[in-house]
Amino acid sequence: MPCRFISGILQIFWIVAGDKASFNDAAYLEAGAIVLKATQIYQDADILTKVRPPSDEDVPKFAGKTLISTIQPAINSDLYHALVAQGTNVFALDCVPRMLSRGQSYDILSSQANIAGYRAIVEAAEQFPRFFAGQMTAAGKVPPAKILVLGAGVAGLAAVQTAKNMGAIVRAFDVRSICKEQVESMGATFLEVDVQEDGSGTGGYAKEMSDAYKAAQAKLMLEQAKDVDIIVTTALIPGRKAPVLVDEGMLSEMKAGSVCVDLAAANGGNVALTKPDEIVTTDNGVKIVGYTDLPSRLPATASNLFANNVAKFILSIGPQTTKEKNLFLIDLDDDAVQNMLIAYKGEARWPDKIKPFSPPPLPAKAQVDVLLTEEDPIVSANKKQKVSFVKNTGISSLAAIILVAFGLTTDSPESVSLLATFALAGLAGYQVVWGVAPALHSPLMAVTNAISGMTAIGGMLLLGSHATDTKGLIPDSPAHWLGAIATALSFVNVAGGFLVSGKSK
Amino acid sequence: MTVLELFRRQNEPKDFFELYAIPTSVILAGLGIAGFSGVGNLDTMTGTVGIASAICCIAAIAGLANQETARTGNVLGMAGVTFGLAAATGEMAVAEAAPAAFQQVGLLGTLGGGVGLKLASGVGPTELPQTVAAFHSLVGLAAMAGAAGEFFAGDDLTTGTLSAIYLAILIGGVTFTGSIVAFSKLAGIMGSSPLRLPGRDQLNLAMITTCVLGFAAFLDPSLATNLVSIDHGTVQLVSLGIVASMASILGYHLTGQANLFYTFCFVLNMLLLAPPLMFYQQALVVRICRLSLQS
Repeated sequence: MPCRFISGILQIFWIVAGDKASFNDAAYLEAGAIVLKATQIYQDADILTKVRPPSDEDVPKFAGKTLISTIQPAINSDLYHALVAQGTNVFALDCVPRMLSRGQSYDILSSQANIAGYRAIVEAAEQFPRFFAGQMTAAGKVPPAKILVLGAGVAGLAAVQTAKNMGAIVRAFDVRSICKEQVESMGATFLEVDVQEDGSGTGGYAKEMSDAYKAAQAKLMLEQAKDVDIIVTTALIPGRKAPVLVDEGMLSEMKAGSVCVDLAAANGGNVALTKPDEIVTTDNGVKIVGYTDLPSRLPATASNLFANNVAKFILSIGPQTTKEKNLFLIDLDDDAVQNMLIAYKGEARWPDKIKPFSPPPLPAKAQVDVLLTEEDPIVSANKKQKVSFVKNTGISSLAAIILVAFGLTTDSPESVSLLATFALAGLAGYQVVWGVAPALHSPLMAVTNAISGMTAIGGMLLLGSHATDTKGLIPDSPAHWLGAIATALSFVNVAGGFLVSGKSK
Repeated sequence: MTVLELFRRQNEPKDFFELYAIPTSVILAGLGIAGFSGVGNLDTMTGTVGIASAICCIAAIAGLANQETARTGNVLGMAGVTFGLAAATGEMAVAEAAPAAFQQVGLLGTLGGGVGLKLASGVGPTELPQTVAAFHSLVGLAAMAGAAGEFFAGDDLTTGTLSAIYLAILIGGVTFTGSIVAFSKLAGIMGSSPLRLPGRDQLNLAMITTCVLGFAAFLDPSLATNLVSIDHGTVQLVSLGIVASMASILGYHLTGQANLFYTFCFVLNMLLLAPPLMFYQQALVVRICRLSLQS
């Protein structure tokens, strides 16, 4: 599994999947690594990283070293205790605190789940006997595929995106209400159960729902099973048995040729009848894909992202808290270290000594504000209304005074009709300008500019007034000179303005 | 690539704006008939063409409300300006201007238009804001010239007209320099922080006070002649000169408000010089500039 070269820390590569992921020896050497035989690696290296937990035979090789790998201590507890006993410092990649924002760059669960979600759709398309996108062809109409994604976490959302990109009709379901917006932003439909209950639990995962909710959910799922062509289930929680989301009843309602892709096959499966690493076909012709190694089927990206996660994590151990670069130091004040270090100096820290990371609570002030407005919504609405009424009264009173002043002092009917024109034109202009889209403000300004070139009219009128005796092309009076200047400048505006805003070719 | 062309989406149907030449010619023909044959009254026909101009200008802005109609809006704007200029030509004829005057206008129009086209052809869409600002400054200058010209041309100017002239020069001057500053900032020639001369506020106040006093003297030169013995005409000229220069300096200071001044500048100019039809355009511009202030 490749890691990137980092200044100050020597990297030793153990080539396992390199060739499959299109990385050959040369690529590693180019990145600055030293390629050694396995035995020598175990001798020389202080920090070792792996993708999967070490096998029992390999455990002694890690004595006294630091190991960074997926461990799954809940499932592999013998392995875990063996490592602890021989003094290995163990960082479990699957114990990354998922709510820590900087932890997202160390989170292999997310990076690999993203890949799994994508690959799930690819595998589904391989098994599905029809197009994903609908088509109207001369040979007939092909309906689009309907895909239901259960679980809208990282993998689920990746699946939704990929399926949408392929043109299918996509629906998603999750008990957590925050997922609704995420799903809908991708153009998919978020299915909801009638019972109002939010399933967001701790650590970003879902919690157990009430019986009423479960019953309503089961009813919804049965209806969907009759309708959809493909179901992708993504409820895989590290170290726990996967919940069954698609039971045999649903499977029997699905049409022949339908496909289920189960991302939780490794932990028992979300679909009844899943067999890990196999494709099962039910009696009514439904295929259940239970591959447990979906990320490995995209080896280049999986390796790349996994390696980046691990490299960033290693680089943060020490520098994150001590601010001293290139010094690897295990510091329990570091939230990420504290959550992921499950064995330290011969001591088993998981699960008792681990303080699960939770994001800091909202500042008290914001909560107080919320309380206040909740208490008096009617009162504050009344206040706002009054303020706006007062403001409008002020403006209209001012206008009224101006109108009266004008009416009492003016003596010509023409000025009245002039003002009338002005007022009405103003209103028309206001209405019309209100609807201009922000993107069009630039052309608007340009067109306005051109229209304002109408100052040419003033110039022209000047040139035309008292001009019964004008001879020749040179202006002959101050008024005419100024009129000429005004005209010339205005024409620059008119021509330039319209050219800039775009004359049609 | 012109700005509105950018808004053309792919596979949009072709436009046939050439057809609009037909109604345009009808209007211009009507004006021609009134002017060159004995049919109808040129004065009222001119006013009517002014209505057409106003309608087109308002519709032009309305067209810019969304992308589909934006190009139509642009064409309507061009029609509106054409009609406005045609109406002005008609007005010149009503005022019995000699043929030489028309020739002057033709020459100036061609020269000015040519310069405008040349300047604008080198401008890309990203340089639009600063180009518009630069053009605004020309409007300020034109307004100043127009107002001053009105003063010189005027036989008996009412107090209202005199006030409008004075204010037009004041605001025109501010618009002129203010827009130049806006242009410089947008083009990156000047930094974007406001100008902070020492005693800037006092300087502004002093200049504004001078302008106010000058305004009083302009309206009623006898105020000044009591202090200094010069004739009324000179007083007025001097005060105009002062306000022009003061305003230009003020414009340099009052950055950020260039759009606002441009608005009022245009409004006053139209108020002063043009028959009622121009009000449509000016009110429109007022709104537009309010909007641009918000954005």
